[in-house]
Amino acid sequence: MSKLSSLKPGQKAHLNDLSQDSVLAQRLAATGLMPGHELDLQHKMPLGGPVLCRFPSGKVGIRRADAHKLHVTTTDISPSHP
Amino acid sequence: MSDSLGAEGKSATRPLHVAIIGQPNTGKTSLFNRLTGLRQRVGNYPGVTVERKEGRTFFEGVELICHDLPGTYSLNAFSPDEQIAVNALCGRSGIELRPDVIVCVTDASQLNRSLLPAFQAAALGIPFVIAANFIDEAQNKGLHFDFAKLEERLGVSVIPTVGNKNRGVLELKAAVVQAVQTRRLLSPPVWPESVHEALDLIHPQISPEAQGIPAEFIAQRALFDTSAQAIRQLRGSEEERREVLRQAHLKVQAGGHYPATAEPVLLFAHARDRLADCVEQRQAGAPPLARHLDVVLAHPFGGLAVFVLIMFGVFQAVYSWSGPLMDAIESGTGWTQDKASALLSGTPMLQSLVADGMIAGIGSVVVFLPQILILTLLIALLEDTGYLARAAFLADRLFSSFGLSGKSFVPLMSSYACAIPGIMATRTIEDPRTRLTTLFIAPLMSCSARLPVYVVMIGAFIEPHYGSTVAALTLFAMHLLGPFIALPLAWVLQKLVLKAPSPPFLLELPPYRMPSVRDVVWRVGQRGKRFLTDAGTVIFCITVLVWALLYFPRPESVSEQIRAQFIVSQSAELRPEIILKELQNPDSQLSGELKNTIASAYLEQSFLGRAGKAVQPIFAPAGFDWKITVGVLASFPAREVIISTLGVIYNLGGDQNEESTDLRSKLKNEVWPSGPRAGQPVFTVATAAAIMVFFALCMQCGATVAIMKAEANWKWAMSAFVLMTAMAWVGAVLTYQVLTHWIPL
Repeated sequence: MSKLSSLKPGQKAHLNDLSQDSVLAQRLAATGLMPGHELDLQHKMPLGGPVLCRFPSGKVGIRRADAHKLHVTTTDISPSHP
Repeated sequence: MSDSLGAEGKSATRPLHVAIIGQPNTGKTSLFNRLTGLRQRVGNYPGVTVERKEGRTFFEGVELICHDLPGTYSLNAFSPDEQIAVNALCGRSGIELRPDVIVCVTDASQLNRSLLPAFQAAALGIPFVIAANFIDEAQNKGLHFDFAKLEERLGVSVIPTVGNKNRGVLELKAAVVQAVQTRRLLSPPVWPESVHEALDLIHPQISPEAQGIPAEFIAQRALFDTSAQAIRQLRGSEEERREVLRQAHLKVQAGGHYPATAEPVLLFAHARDRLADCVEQRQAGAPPLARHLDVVLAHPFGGLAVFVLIMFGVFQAVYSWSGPLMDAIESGTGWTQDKASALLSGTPMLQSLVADGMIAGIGSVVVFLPQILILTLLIALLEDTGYLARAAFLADRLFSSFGLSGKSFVPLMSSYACAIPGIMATRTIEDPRTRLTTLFIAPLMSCSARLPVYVVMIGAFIEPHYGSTVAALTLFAMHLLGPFIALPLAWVLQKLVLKAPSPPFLLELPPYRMPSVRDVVWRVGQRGKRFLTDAGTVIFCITVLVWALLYFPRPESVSEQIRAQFIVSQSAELRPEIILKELQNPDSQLSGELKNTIASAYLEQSFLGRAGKAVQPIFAPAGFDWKITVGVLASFPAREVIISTLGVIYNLGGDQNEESTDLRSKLKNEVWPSGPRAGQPVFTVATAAAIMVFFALCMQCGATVAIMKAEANWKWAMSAFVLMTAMAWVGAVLTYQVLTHWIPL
């Protein structure tokens, strides 16, 4: 288990639970990113800037401090099909 | 609330109120525009509908009053914007009574997710219709929909639509009317036992006088939305309510759900299970071309480079594309002035009012219409493609170090067109502290009304000396000055005035979409219309007033006195009889000079001339003469007025021999009449720069002060006004002094 903020660009993971911060959790869930969903980190802005996450029903930018509170389980990085 | 409509088929007697809800980026506003024909701002940025909009339409004799509510991810209201939508659904604001029918607009590609607000609203017991919007996008992705099955599962009509292509709109209207007539309600979601137990705990606490809102809806909101107004509708003391909710949350937890996220998680699962066999991924589908754009456009470095290029391109385009159009309008103004002068030559005062006051004033404002239209067009395009959301993502790191967030970007960017919509767009910011700071600094962004000042000054004093590249760079720099001052100011505000921890920051990046030509053209048209209406009303009135204050008083004695002085001063070189003979001929050089001298004498002793001269010492350190001072004073109600005021001043002030009639050359020819710099030009590069800086920083806009008061409070609005005016003066003085004494240009 690791944190969303520690993923590398291109890495895939499953979101674990959202219990850490209830407001963050509610807002993430409302945009369609829920526990158990797969996501991948597309970009990480430099100097501790936000991270860009893709998930099945959308794409969301999350500030680094918030990404730090989200636990994920990395899935194998295999060369994905285009 | 019983309504006996429809059942007897007499629905034509009363209009139906239709509330349109939906998550951001589902194309809700575009669909609303097609429904009603009355169209307003449509954006591809999360939450661009900052106000409830209303529009009317008819279907088979039934009048539909459609209310376009702000986009909400869920009915848990985090931002003021979302609260507006929830209030409207409950009949708490504006919509008389509750709506007769709710239309939930969904993104067909993301049906499960975008049904969340619909399921939450199901407990309201109001007839419902679902619009599966962007159905074309979904089908291109290879999704296949079984609409008959969908309707059966959801209990209501599901209409495939493409709002921006006007598809499915008529069917939607028909479904709306039918839904009311047959009272078709959305099938309520199936909750697990633990949630039912929790709701049962809350039900006895609901006051019976809950304004006709069903108890089940109030119970659900109280259970799931800890911040909502619904809690206030429970009975008992604060402590009793808390205790009930705590017990209820324990029940939910016992069922294996986190109370904070139970609702969206359960509803998403509910939608997935119930609609599983209604939507099928049949073939792989062509991936949309735009899917890979973010590889570059949101890239940490590449994205920033593209961002700077795009912004520079915008200002370059505004400056260069508008040139020919401006020339055309300018020569049109000159022609009209000549014709009017000739027509009214019998009545000098009327001639002056029409030619120097009205036509010169209005013409000098209207000439900037092309630039304002081009800027609005480019911002609209960036917004509707979804690019501005990327820009907000890129800007978040920078903004967060000043206590703002990426969500401040769109309000600030819109303020470049006009601060009014910019300040209204701050409603999409959830955090009140960030919101207040953003709206405080929004007027510092250089709105399009400042463009005329820059264009005149740059065109007259920068471009001739340094070429068009430096001119474009100067224009770009003037637009950077706002954020350059505003960001540190935001940081100070956050540190000194507003202290609170920062809430989580999430920003949804919508899919890239082709902007609809109709929507963009409509927005540009609206901006132009407003500009011309302003030019035709407020600016027109101020212009006429300014003309009157500059024309009166006009005693004959001044003219006679100046004539006598003029003859005396000329007699050193010429014999008196030659002077008199020359003056008999109205076309002689001497007559021309006398006419100019008389005109400027009248101007100086006019009401506004005297006021300007009295106040001028305050602005002297910035290099302003009394004429510029008059312009500055006259433009506090609306800054566009500066150009028309200068137009009136310099037209009244003479220069009748000057061939060119445009303001730029008149400014260049202006010299100090007396004092230490007598004979030297008033306008130098330093003066021009000081004027630009003054206008960039000053809050010369009554409408902005009013909207700030409405969105925040009086104290906030007045603080911004005083602070910006002070900064403008300091900035102008610094600019002038530094450029005059330390940097020889």
